[in-house]
Amino acid sequence: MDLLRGRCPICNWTPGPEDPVEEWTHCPNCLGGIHEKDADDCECGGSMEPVSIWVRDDSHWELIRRCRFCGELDTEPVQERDNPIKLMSVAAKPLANPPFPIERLEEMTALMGGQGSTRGYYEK
Amino acid sequence: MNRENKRRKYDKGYYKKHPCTDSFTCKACGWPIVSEGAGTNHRNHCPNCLCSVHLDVTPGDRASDCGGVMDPIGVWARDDGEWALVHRCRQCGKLSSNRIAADDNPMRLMAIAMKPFGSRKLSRERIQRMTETMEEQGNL
Repeated sequence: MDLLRGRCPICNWTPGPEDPVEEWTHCPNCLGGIHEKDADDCECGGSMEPVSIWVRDDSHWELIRRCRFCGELDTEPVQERDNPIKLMSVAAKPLANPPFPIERLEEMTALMGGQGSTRGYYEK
Repeated sequence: MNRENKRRKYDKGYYKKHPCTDSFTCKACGWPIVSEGAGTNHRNHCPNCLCSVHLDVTPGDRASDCGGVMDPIGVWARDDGEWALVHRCRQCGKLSSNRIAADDNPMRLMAIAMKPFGSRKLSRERIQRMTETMEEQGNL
């Protein structure tokens, strides 16, 4: 993150008066950032885009981010200050574009000989 | 076939250019896997448990000596709307993204996508309070 001016180079978010002046690992507003070091320790400079959420355990989430320029992935712990609406939106993106019809989920799984069902939701 | 075997053994980038058609059992769940039915020539994860194995540094080079099991930690929708799985190596933590295959267990895929919604990290009370303050109207 652009530390000198304390603003996000992607969405121009600036920390408010009550926000801590610390080193942000990602922008709490857009959850993005600049890809500073790649695998070979070279500067990439592409923008890191949040693509998914990894639920490590119930209270610990990690953000999976992908570089728009070189395609490298990294994970980043979700902070307390992070934008909840953006987090929800990132998590819901795959659900909004399902690769198979959701109404036929059970049917498909049974046809393919797979295990698992959604009955846990209806059980008391 | 003999010549093909020789090529497979000595040609360093063989799997970069050729699909792997071998059958194998999944290292994580023991599911027998054949290369047919994936809808792609590159079977890179188990269709049952969706786990992968850390073999490559770049796709098909078989250059990694880690060999750890890679767990599916997330799914993401690419710009073209297609889903991809994010795998993370249990041993070294390397991340990689792999396209889903036609015969992947849809129930497991959906479970990964639904996981954030069953978690208490984003508390319902806080979101409720947020929507209340979002609806606030300024008093003139």
